[in-house]
Amino acid sequence: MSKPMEVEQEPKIDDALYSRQLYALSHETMKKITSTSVLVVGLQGLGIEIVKDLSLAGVKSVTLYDKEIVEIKDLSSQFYFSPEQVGKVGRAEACFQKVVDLNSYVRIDVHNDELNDEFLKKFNVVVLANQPLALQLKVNEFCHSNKIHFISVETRGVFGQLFNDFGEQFTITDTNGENPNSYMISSISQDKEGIVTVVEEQKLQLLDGDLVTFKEVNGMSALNDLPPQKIKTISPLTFSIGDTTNLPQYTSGGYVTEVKQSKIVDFKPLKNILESGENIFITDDFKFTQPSNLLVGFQAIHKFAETNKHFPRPHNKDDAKAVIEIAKSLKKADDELDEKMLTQLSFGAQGDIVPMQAILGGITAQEVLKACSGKFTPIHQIAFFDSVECLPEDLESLPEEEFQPIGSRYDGQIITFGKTLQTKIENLNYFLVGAGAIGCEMLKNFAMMGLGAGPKGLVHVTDMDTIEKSNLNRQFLFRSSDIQQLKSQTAANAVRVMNPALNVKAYSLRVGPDTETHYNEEFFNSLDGVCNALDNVEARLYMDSQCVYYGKPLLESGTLGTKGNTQVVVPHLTESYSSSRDPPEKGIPVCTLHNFPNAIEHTIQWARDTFEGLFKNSADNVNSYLTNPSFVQSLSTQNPFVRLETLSSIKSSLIDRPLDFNQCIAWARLKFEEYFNNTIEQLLYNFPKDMVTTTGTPFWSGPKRAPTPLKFNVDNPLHLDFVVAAANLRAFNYGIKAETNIDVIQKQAANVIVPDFTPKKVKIQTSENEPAPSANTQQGGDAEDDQCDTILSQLPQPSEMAGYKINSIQFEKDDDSNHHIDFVTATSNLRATNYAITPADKHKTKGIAGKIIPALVTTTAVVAGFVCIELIKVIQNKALEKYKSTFMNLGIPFFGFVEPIAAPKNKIREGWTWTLWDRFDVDGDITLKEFLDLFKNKHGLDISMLSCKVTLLYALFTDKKAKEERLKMKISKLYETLSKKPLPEDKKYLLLEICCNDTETDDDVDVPSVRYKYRN
Amino acid sequence: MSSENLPPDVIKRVVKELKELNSSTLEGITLLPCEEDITNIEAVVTGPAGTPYEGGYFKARLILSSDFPRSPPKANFITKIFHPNVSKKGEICVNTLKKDWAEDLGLKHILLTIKCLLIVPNAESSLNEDASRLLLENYEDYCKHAKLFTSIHASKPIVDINNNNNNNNNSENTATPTSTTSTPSITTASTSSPVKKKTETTTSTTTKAQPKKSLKRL
Repeated sequence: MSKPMEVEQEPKIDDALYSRQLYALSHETMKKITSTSVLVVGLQGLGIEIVKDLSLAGVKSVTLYDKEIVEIKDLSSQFYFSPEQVGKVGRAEACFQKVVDLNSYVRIDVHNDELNDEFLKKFNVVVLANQPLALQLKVNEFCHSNKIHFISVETRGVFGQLFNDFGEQFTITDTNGENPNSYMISSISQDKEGIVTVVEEQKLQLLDGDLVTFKEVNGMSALNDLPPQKIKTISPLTFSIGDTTNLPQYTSGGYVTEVKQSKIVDFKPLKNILESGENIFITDDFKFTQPSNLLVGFQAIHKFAETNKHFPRPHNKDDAKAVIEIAKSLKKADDELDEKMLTQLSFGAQGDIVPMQAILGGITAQEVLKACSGKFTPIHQIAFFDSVECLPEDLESLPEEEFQPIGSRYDGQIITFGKTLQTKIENLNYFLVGAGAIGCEMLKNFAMMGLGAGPKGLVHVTDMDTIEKSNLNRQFLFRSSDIQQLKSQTAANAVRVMNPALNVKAYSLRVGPDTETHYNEEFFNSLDGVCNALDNVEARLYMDSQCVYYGKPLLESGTLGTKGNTQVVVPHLTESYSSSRDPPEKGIPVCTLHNFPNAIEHTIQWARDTFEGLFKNSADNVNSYLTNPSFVQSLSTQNPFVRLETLSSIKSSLIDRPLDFNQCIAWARLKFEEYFNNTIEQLLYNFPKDMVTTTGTPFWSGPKRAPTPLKFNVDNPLHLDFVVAAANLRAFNYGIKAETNIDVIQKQAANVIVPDFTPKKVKIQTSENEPAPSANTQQGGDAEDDQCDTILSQLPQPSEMAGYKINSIQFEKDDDSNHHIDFVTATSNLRATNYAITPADKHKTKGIAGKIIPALVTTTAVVAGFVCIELIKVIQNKALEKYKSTFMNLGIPFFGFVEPIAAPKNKIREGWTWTLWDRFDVDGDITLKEFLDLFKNKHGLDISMLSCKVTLLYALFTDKKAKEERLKMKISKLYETLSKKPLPEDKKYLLLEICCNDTETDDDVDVPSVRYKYRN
Repeated sequence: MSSENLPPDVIKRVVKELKELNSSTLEGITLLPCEEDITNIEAVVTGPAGTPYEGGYFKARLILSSDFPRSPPKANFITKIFHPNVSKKGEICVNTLKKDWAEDLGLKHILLTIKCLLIVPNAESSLNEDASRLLLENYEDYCKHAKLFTSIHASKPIVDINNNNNNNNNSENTATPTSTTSTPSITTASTSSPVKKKTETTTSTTTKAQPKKSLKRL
């Protein structure tokens, strides 16, 4: 199809590439981002992190400015420099090409001239990374008066500082990025202070002064047209909206929706902030003296550098003293100086560690995106970070020599942590589980830290996935030419380029009970720790249980849009990942889904279930029927109706299978009738719109919305969308070539003969003597059973159809041409139309149906940085209070650091306590009786229940005869017999769980698991 | 699908709950053995007195998913029942199992909730429209109809049948523990007397076989 040429079109956003970011930021924000030009001055580790994140995020252009020549020390965190460039190339030039390769939509320039006013004027945002204070002040002054958003960020060893100046009257359009809350109304009073009550089971999350709008209100319908109204909250279910006496009486329905309000803030120039100490954003509530100390501390080291032409020397006590003296002259009279902190700052001022660059760089990139879009609340205005807890405990007493650079790429890290720790890091063995977003960041961090680069070091990385386009937006080790390649392998290759010394082994085996022959005891014993980079709770729980079992530290993290968290699990010290869980997932009640949807989420879920039933389950059932001889038998444990339904679907799939595409169209057209007309007609027949319940209220009220059947109209695009998608999927099931011409499908669909529908009247049988109607049964046999038998006799025997197979369709959300999301969108929106629910576009539907987790490269980078900080603590065996679990939301913004929870101690009896890290070790293989006796005699414990995995081996309530049999059996045999699973060849242990009582007191006591060795 | 993957502490919790459920007999609820896989729990709910379900034995199944207790178990009736909040497929609509789910709700709580549902049906959250409509329009008719269903589909005690079989088949089953010798379908307990069932059992390899159950009397 050809369209007239359009000139000066808005840049089109590549939805497939930016998919996960769009779910976090919205198209509107993305448009602003794509028209933003950014200048980044300073391209060491910090600068490159910012540039990387901004390029992936898709700004219009990034200009690189740094004429300094690459130094070997820069390689401590600048992942786009190579040793060959040292001493030869300017920093901006050195990384230019690799930045260009990140995202073809972003223009990258290198600027080699002066940083003059004319040049600065070209940009929307100017970022200075680790620049001299004098330059920061000068550029900021110009930017402030020219309405250019300015950010200056610094990292010095384990310390960081970020300053924002977005000018006066900066508008924040969305302060938190959360969706506006919407509530269903149950009543509105006619009063001077009209009170709105929302339907129960919702909790109002509105505050006094919030603005709301109304829609679909019946009776008091004038409300629907009003501009946003200010509210006053009254109770968890009610709020007032002012005078409603002049409005007609409320009858039914309606929604009230929060209106998000923008906010205007003023920023002051850096000079004012440094002088006044105002507008400090607190990053760690528990570090009271940190902000005031670092405010003067950072100025002090700059002043030192101006005088001495270099930053304070590594671990140099004289320089540290000089810095403290300068700080004293800068501080406010009533501020107390923390000399220890200032010494640490001075000691490591030349330090350059990748975790800090990742954290500060990621945060800064998000601030740039805030500056250009007004999305999320910016840091107002200056913030300080430190990770002093990861410094060596005896820092001050260690010799200066320990921290001197040795002309290695790790010098930045040696200056910070010393040579001993550096050697330790290089010889670590770590298992990185996942090479997705967090995995890529982690590998980059490992490469820069040299983790696994030593002679004894090794990084194992596994990921079963292959690379998809939507990954490229944040999984920065991948390029479009890598699509379809294995993530783990590609990522490993990419980081070998960053640091050729890195020992990294890539696997594509997922972790789980079925791969324990690969990730076995020997494998785990070789590890120093495990780093999770996973996207699902199940695998996280599994790795957690493995780490507890093998006694290995676990680094855990996750992100959701601008939110992120990290957790460190240390053997015998902290609780484990599974000790505390996320809040449970709230499901949609089945009846809401089936009959009473009232939100688009309900219709999307219904559409998704329908997809699964029509195109996957029915195909799977047919294939099982044809290939698995015990399939029919296995159905007998099901509810009779489910069984009948399964068999009927097999019958219709096999006997009524389509032979050409026209039959697929006809089938799709009839499905339309069934779903959006007949089912609704039947429901309305059962529950007429005017039906009143026994309490006198209308049946269709509150959260129940009365539906309206749809009349098929071939000219309605939504109706046709459904037919096209359904027919195509059906055709795929049967390997039939699909028609691509919409007009042809349209014509065919219009011609399908649709039988008239008359709602079925339920014949209510109230006595056993009446003849049994269809849904009922006859004495002595179930109607369903008889029908099942009939169908079974009609079905072709599997042997008659040997080799026949229906293509089962696996739901895939990210392929725009496969009709999956098209089907779900059309089905959901048609059902939404039935129930007068506002439909959702394809993007939104895809997000909900595909359970897409919004993701941003910025959050990912920050989280990976925090994880590495914890890793450095783990290898130093730090005390509990030195570790931090992190909770953050870059959007609000918020950072929270809390001490991990200690492993809870359980008491068995006086003098005998244990934690989740303890267990019994029993050498077998012994009989159940011997096992029970062992615990009774040796430990004074009477075992009442014994289980292994999900199989119960012994219980008090096991019947007597069986118990006698079992007591004689060896535990391994018992497990094999009961679980019907053979014991794996290459394993030696079973993990047993026991419930028992103390033989002395007969009290029920909690005891650890038992590691039972059944083979040598 | 059951989940081999449950963390040890969750398994321990489930085992403990099973122990408790067995030791303190809940009135009207009997747990069926589930030793092979404790994430697949079956129980018989006895129809509460004064309801149209009185005298019935209703088998229900709870399936724990791999992220239990973060997500609630799936609960279904296996025995047919005429009830507004139970679909023909046996799906049960109670908030406890969906939006009101909390991790510390135990199996006991769920089973009691299901039992309560038999006492207090809720016509408004309808999953069986026929039953709901009848309940709303004519309670008497609803009762009669539900009673009829009960008498036809749920009149035979399920546990007793099993116990009988357990004792009878005990020796041969221990001898061949992996056999898939069929036992009577509990779901269709009404169709014949236990005696007739046994004859079927020994002779047939019908679709009603329940291989899963053959081992619990080991």
